[in-house]
Amino acid sequence: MISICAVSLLLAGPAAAECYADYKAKQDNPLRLHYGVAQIQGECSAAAAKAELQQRLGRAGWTLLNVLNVFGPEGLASRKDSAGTYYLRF
Amino acid sequence: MPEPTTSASEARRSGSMIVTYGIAAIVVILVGAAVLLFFTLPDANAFNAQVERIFIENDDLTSGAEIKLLEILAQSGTAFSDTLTSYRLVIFVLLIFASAMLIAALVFLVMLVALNRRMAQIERAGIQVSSLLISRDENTVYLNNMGFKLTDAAMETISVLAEARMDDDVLSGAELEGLVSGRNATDCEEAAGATRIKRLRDGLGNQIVAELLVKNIARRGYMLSVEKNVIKVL
Repeated sequence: MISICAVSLLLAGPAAAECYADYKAKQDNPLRLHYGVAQIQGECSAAAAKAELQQRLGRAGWTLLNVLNVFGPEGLASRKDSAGTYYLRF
Repeated sequence: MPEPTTSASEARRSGSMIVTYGIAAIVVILVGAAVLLFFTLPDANAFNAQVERIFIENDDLTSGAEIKLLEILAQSGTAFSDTLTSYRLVIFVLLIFASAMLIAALVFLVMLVALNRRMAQIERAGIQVSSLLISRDENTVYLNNMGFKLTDAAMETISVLAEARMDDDVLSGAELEGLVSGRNATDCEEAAGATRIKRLRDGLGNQIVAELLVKNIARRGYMLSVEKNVIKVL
């Protein structure tokens, strides 16, 4: 019973509604900043998004400053203009 | 009552102590100023950190143009901090020059004080013989480049005394007479030597006083050669 529950939870994670987060990141020397929107694969919370984005941005040489919000697909359109080239890039 | 005497060596010792303390104080001030200078001026990252803080704190700063402006702000800050670094170097160099000047001024000041003390001592001591030149050819003794003509006998006496002084010897009257006349000292009388000394003192002292104190102006008369304001009559 427990194992069935666990499997169903694992399956339910990605299957749940699509999750996005908007964040701010920086690069040092010279200082470069960007605001971006990214899709979150894991749990749909700010803390989880932070951990996940930290890794992803770190690989590209960026430092995550903070995660502003997590939201569903309905929030994408209003943020697309601001994020510009960093819209769903990472 | 305090001791009225001062010794030149004591003045020199305390003077060099003052110099040591003064130079140490100047070096401490210099090092303190340098440390203050290098730690209080903002480093290149201070501007970037500030811009970053503004970016994080304001959630609505998200549009591309705003972010670009923030980046430009950070860059101009960094450029300014480069300028500050060169200023810091210039200030440091000026600081070193200033402290070198301070040290030089202190050394000169102490030297001046020591020289003043020495001058006062010399003035009080009266005539201080810094050179004694005996010229046998001219029968003249030069004291501090003042020439005094002496008789042959007085020349002999002062030559013998000068030689004895160079050997750190003290001569009795009899020994002096013996050396001058070439006889054995035991055959000579004490009084004969004393007479030679008296004649030397008379001849030389007369001329020294004439040179230093009682001037003789040719065809006009005599005059004291001292300043008017140092004379007091009780």
